[in-house]
Amino acid sequence: MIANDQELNATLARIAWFQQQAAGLREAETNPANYRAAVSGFLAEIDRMQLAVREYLSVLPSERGAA
Amino acid sequence: MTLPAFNSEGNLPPGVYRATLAETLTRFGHGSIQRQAVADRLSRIYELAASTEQVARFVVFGSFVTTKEEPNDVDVVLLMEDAFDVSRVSGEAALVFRHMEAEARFGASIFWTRRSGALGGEQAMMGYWQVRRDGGIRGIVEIVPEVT
Repeated sequence: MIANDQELNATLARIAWFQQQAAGLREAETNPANYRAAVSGFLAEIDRMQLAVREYLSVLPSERGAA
Repeated sequence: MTLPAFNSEGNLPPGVYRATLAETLTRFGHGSIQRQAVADRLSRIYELAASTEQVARFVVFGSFVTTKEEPNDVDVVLLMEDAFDVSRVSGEAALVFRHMEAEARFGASIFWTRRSGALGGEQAMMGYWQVRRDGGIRGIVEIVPEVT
C-alpha cells in the first residue's frame, strides 16, 4: 500500500522500469515459451503496482489524513 | 564474502552479497516459524532452479534478507543461461518459471530472464533489485554454489 507521495513517485518509477524490462524482453527474447513465462512476472508486478497507485490516487489527501 | 551486519533500518547495507545457500539459511533462516517456513521454500526453489543446470545467477531480495520477524514470502530473481528453454523443464521445476504458479505453490515472487534479456546488462539488472518499493536502497544476496 502506498502511504505518501514519496512512495507514489517511487512506485511510478518502478512501474516504468518494469515496463522497460518487459519491452526489452520482447525485443531480446526469440523463444515464445521463454518470453511468455518470463514476461508474466514483470506484467503481474506492474498490475499490482498499478492497483496500488489507483488506490492511492482515489483518495484526497485531506481524506487520507482524516482516515 | 561474509554477509555484513544489518544497518539501523534492519536491512543489509547496499550491495550484492555472495553467499552459499547454507550460509544464507544460517543467517536468515532462523527465528519465527514463518521465517523458517519461508527459508524452507527458498531452499526448495533453489534446488529446483539448480536442477535445470542453466542458472547463471540466483538472487534473493526483499524482506527475507532483512530483520523482519515474519517475512510474507521470498523474492527471487534468476538470470538463466542463454541456452535455457523453459519448454524443456518439466515437473515441479517448471513451476519456478511461471510467476503466478510460483506464487501459489511456493509463496514466492520469482522473476527471471535469460542473460541476453537483462535490461542494461547483467550487473545493472541485478543491481536494480536493491531498490525497495519506497525508493530506498538495501542490500541483496546472490546465492552461489558451494565450492567443492
